[in-house]
Amino acid sequence: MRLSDRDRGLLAGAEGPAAQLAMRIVAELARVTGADELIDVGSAHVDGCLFHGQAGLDFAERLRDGGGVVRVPTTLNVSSLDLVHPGRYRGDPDTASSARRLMDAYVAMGCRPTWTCAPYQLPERPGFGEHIAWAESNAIVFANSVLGARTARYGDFIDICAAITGRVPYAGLHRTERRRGQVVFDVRGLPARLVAEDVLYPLLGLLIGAEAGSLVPVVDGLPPGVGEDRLKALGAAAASSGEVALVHVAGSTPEAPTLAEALQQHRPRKAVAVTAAMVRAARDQLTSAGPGRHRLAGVNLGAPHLSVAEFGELVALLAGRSIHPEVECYVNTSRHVLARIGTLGWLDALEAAGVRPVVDTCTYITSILEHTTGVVMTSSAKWAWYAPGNLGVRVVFGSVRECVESAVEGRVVGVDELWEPR
Amino acid sequence: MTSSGNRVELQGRALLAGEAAGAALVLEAPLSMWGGLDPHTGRLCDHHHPQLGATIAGRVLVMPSGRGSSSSSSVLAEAVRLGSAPAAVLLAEPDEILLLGALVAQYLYGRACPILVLPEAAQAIATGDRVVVRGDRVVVRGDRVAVARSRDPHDEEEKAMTDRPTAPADDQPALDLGAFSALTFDCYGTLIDWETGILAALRPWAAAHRVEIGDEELLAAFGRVESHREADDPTAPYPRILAGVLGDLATELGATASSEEAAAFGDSVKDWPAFPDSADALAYLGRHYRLVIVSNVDRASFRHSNAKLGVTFDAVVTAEDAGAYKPAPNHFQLALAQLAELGVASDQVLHVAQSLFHDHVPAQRLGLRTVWVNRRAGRGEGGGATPAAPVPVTPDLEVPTMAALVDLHRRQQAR
Repeated sequence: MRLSDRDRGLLAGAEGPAAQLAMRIVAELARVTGADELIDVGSAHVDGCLFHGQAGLDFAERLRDGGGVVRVPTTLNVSSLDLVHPGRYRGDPDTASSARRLMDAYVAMGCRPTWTCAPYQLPERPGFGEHIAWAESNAIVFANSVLGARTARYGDFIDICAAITGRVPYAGLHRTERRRGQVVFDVRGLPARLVAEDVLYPLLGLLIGAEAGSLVPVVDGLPPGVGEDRLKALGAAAASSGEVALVHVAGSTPEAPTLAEALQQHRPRKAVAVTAAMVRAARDQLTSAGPGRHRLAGVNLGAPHLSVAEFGELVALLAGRSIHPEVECYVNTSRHVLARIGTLGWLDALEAAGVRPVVDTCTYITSILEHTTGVVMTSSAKWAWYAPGNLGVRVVFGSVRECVESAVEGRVVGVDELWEPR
Repeated sequence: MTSSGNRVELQGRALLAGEAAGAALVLEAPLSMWGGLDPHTGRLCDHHHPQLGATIAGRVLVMPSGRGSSSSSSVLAEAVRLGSAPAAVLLAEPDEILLLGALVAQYLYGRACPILVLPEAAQAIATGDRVVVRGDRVVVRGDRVAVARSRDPHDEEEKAMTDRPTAPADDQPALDLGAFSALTFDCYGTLIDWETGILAALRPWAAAHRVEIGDEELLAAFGRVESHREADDPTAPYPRILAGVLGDLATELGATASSEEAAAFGDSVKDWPAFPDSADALAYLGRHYRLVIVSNVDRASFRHSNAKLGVTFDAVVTAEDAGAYKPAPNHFQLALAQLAELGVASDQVLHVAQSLFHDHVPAQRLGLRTVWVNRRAGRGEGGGATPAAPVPVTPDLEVPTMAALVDLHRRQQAR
């Protein structure tokens, strides 16, 4: 493998023990991925700031104490704590104090305290074709698919190592030929009324993730110009049920003006004709509460973090009504978006209606929910996918409209309307 | 690939080289360690995974690929730190996220969890096979049963195998039952249908407090808090343990329990029913063996259960006698001492129990042979009210019921 002089210097400890350890890990990854050189990255997004146990803290503090400083602009993913609304945390105080130490360690290394899983909703975004080192599965798939930036499927540890060294192996999705679409999901068979609904997109993502394996999927047959929030939902779901790190949507994403370009003029390895029954099965898979009447304990929106446009939709759907007093309704977003909706006057209106904003973290990864008995509704496939395991809750998946109506009524309403045969 | 009898040697590609050995756990679907492995228990906790509840700790994990979250590196590193990681991971294709977790854990703690790419592993290795990993070489020793067993992933037997290493096939057991002169029994879960009893006692409470939870989930929660209570308060009488368990369950499920409800649950042991085959099986076995009870219960509660079982035991060791709860070794040491007074040496003692966690692990540590009465076979994943064994354990024989043990004894006698 070719290393630059600086790479070799780092390995020899020229920039201190933290940079040395970081470079060793980058080089080890390069060996395993078969890369023959390292390349520079323009930015990093670090996922390691979410507390999963002592090991993550040991590693961050080892790097910080070894003089680790990030070399490229670096954003931070969600943490375990909402520092803006500290009273929302209901977990163990020892965990909170370790989680706080972990956050502090990353900030001390020069990372920006953005605390969001949707760094692509911040003002500075990577450009088309730019090499970056992003962690967090939904951010990875968004950066690759929607922005056309290039990141491999990085995770905890390598994210901060890439940020400190500014280097990654030239492998995986950094290489043009690895970005070629390989399995085509043809959605022309879906009814138009389903294609028009936001709720289709996370479900489509879910079934694509389960079906694609390690192949790069292409969605073909959607009307052109699918919006960013729908692509966000599709990608996040695909990265939850599968290992999807790039999904082309023909006519909507930058490397897929046409199906042929998404496939880089090759034949696909596999083609799947998506049916309404498959979408329905994906939806049923997300509802972990059995049939029958359930007490609605909560509604959770915003995984990945809600965008300004999605807040606008929420305000319109609530239409001046209030959340039912027995339902806790959380909306996860970033500090940045929270500030934006504050200046639009929406935040006051939502809080007055009983909506509880959560920032810096997300309600499925930390202890915030007051009630975990009864059922919890969400419009997020990612939330529905992980919350039963993380929190032990039972989930009903529905559209944003269904979630809002249910939150107002205080019971699960309307979840079957779209799905009944007409 | 070279093969000689039940031994197969494979050549993989080491992403992270090291040495490891353990019983194989072959995953039927990819697993994200984040949201999929609970590093505190070492068990598979992804509700979407067909093998929910299987023990990963100490196993050689054979899996198609990683999946989902990029936080899996942290979870694997934490599992290595806590000792709940797999012994090694054999993947069909490289997975950098798992590699990084193992690599960082090695830097931080000096402990290796080797990761190899070995695409043919899922074909060549069955759950329960013993696997040794050394560098890029993998040696697999499959028992007759593991090699011959159907590889159909939908096979129920295959699923039932996921939580333990190996057991001899039913048609030709390796264990000669005639070689023993005393049987020690666990009581609750083996002879007494405690899960039915527990649910009958908990359901009215759950209904009164609007706790909505499925039976299996409720039993699993019971198993978790009960084992903690028993470990934390080893000399408390069992009714008091149970009363505390209800309080813990209420906290965990976001409900409350009054002291009357807690006391009533503590007192419910006397109502727990016997399995339908227990009394007849004990009557038969009592004609061939000395019978001993080693049970996590108090003497008063056991008297009610004993009435349902119909036989007179040669010795009864309760938690009250042992001053501890299994999996502590006290019960077994006491039982062996009492059997020695009756002239029975420990190599003539066979322990019969449902719980790998409470019974097989401590009994085998003391050198006892064990029979697994796998009462939960065919009841899906998860261990019900019984926590998973913290380390791999290989019972000498597995039977689904006490009646099946009697049948086997009859057949061996007839030979």
